[in-house]
Amino acid sequence: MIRVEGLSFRHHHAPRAVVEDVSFTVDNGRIAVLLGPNGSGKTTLFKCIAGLWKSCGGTVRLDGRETDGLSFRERALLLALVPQDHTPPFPYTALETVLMGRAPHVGLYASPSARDVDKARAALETVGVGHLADRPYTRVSGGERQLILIARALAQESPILLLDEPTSHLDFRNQHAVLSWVRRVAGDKGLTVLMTLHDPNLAAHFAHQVVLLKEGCVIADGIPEQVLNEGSLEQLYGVGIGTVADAGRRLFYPRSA
Amino acid sequence: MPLLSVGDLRAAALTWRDKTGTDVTVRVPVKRAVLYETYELLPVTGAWDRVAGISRFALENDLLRAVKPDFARAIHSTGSAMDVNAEALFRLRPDVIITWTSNPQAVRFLRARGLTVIAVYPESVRELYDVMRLQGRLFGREQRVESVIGEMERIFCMIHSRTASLPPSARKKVLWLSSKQTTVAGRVGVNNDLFGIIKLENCAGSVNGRTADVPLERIAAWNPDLVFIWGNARYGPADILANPQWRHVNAVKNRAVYKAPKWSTWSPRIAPIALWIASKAYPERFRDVNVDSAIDDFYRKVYGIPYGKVTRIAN
Amino acid sequence: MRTKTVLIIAAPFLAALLSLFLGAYGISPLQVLSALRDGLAGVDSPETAIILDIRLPRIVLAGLAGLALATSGATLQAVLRNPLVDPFILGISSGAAFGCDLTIGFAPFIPLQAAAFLGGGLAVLVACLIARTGDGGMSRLSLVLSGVIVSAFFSAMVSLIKFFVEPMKLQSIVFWLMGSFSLAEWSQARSAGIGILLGCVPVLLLRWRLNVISMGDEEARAMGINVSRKRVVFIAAATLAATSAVAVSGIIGWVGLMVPHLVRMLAGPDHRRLIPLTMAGGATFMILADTVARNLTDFDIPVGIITAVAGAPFFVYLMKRNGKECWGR
Repeated sequence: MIRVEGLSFRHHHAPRAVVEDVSFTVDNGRIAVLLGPNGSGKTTLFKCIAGLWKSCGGTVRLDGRETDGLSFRERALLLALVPQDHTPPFPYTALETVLMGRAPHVGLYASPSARDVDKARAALETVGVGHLADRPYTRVSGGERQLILIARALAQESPILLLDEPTSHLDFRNQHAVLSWVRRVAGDKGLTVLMTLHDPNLAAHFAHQVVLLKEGCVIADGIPEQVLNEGSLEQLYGVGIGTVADAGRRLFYPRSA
Repeated sequence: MPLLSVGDLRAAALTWRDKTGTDVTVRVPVKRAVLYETYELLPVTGAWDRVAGISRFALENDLLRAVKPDFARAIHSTGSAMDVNAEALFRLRPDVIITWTSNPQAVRFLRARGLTVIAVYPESVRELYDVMRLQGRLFGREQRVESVIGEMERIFCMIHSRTASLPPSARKKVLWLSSKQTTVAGRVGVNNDLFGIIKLENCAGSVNGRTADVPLERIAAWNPDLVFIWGNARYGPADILANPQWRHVNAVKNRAVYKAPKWSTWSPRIAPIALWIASKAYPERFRDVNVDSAIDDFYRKVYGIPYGKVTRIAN
Repeated sequence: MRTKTVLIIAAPFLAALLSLFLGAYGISPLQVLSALRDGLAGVDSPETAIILDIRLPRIVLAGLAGLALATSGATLQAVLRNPLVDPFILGISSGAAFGCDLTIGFAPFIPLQAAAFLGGGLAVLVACLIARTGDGGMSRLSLVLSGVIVSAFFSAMVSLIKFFVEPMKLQSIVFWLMGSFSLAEWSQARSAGIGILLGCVPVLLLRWRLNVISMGDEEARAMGINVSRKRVVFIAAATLAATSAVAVSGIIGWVGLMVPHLVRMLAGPDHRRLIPLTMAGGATFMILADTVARNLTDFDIPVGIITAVAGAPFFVYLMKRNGKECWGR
């Protein structure tokens, strides 16, 4: 469970807070999506929850534990992070990359054990990319790389999973493929998931819960069917929004002015 | 060396082919010279009033300070041979500049601006005499220079008379060590020339150059009988005598490792140094010579001061 | 993979054995063997002195210095996530040079090793302080940049010291800057070995963490690593190893940059393998380079020249052949 209460963040010397008094809760086993335009404070909120940025006002509780004062290791045992696509400086294999997720479980002066390697392999299999284990992580497709990073987060065995725009560098097919894996794995393992997305249609399809963030404030929070509608999205993005309905799904599109 | 000198007594022209192969013509006697190198010849010529500028390193020179403690009041520093202070130099309006060949850019730079530059680099006693005679003529002190060369020759002859009869088989093998224990003086330079006069065989005579780094085991293979250490080196005989790597070298077994005093190779001071080296190399042939008083005698005659005055300043 | 690993680990010992048979003194291989036997039996002869007191300490020292520089390079490359840094980018080299020159000039009673470490450590410390941001973090780029700044400053200080010394005397101040093992002896191998050991053992023990840290500060923190603290440990260890080598050998370039890359091309980027293999590779490379330095001519060529002359073309060749693996894309 993720519980955010009164979270605020202001950059040094900045006149206005980037995130202002944000509160919401994600229940166990749910997938929540943080939706908002560029500059809405999504990334800031995300980094505060992940504990990467310090001096955030308010409290964040992960599975009931307040995160202030937790060491990086203790926090990593509660929460795993899937970063946006990136290029590492060295071409580690997929297995070596996933093995890094075992860091909070490995002793200070030790290297990962055979058991850690087994868990890393299992994590790769879980998201269907076991065959990539020995391939350089730098030489796979964007979708495969995203799955490898998800496998790494799974290897960390934390109950909470944070994904930072997991679809931002992916093509149409891979966006759906990756999010389908997330939904399936989260369901199988009972993970609590919070992710940021840009596409309200993906949010509507994959999320149990949607939080709309505008100018650092939550303007709506609830199940997609309630929260996502033409009115709320027009308010969120500042453009006219149209809807089409087909086969029981609603699809939003921006109406050109 | 001097090619020709023309003119009357008051203003003669001296043409000199310097070490860069350039013929340099100077009107002598010069009145405003700058000495970037060979400034230890200044106490020889005594031309203190004819020298307007000098290397900044001369200001700390033991010999100059001992002979004329207040010389820096009248003679200005104009940088050094490696860092010529052009503005200070031009302000002095020098009529001749003596520097070395190690910084050819500076020589070209100054010549291009109309200055008269003589570049020197004596590599033997003979070439040192040439440079001394050059300065004698530049400052009109030929007599004085000849008498100093005479004093030097007297010492060299004394050495020669005692060592010339040594058969080649009895000559000792010597090694001159420079900044570090494996940097040796080769066959070029004043050091090697002195060894020839003393009848010492330079182990590093096969090294075609002034100095070279060699592997320590090559020194072990050369197996010198005598080792001399450059005066400015950061190590001394004790370091070599205590180093087990040297234990089979003859010089160490004979405890014949010596550190030379700090001295310039481009100076009449090489003559007493040669005597000191010779007395260490062949003590049995110099038993009747009081080396210390001979050196002191030389300093009194050439520089007009006791040797002790120089060593006090040097240390 | 296994044979390759065994070969790389065995390489420095084979190189040392080869080097033991080569030298200016001209000892036949059989004499070398009998000198070794005599030496072990306590018999003293000119040959045992050459083999056991001149060649062997030099080989050991070259191996240790190569190991230290290469390990330091691999560590810094990972910690700074920058494949083009080496022990000297953080100003370690010029800081060590400054420390040594200052010591030689004004406090000759301080051991050179200590002066080099103090100088190199001061340079790194200042570089880190400059790079520190308000919230206590430290970005990779600003750390490299402040390393460049510190390096330039200490180089200027070294030049300033040099300027005030007569060129003839200068030789005794700067000779160690031209990297060489010409004065290698057992006492040097011992004093450098202690520093190198103290620097390299923590890196060896913590080496898997380098994988995680090389993924970036935020990711490593999210995986539970206290990046700031670990980075201090790694940089301090890399500094100690590198300055211990610099103090006895002078500045030898290329090894810290090249060996980790070569090993990465042969055995991959995983630091669990990379660090021990880089240690072996660095030692091998330096022993071979120094063997060339003292046997190629009648002279003792500074080994830094050999590493640069041999290193650059070899590096280009491997980069052309295997460039993609080298740069990781």
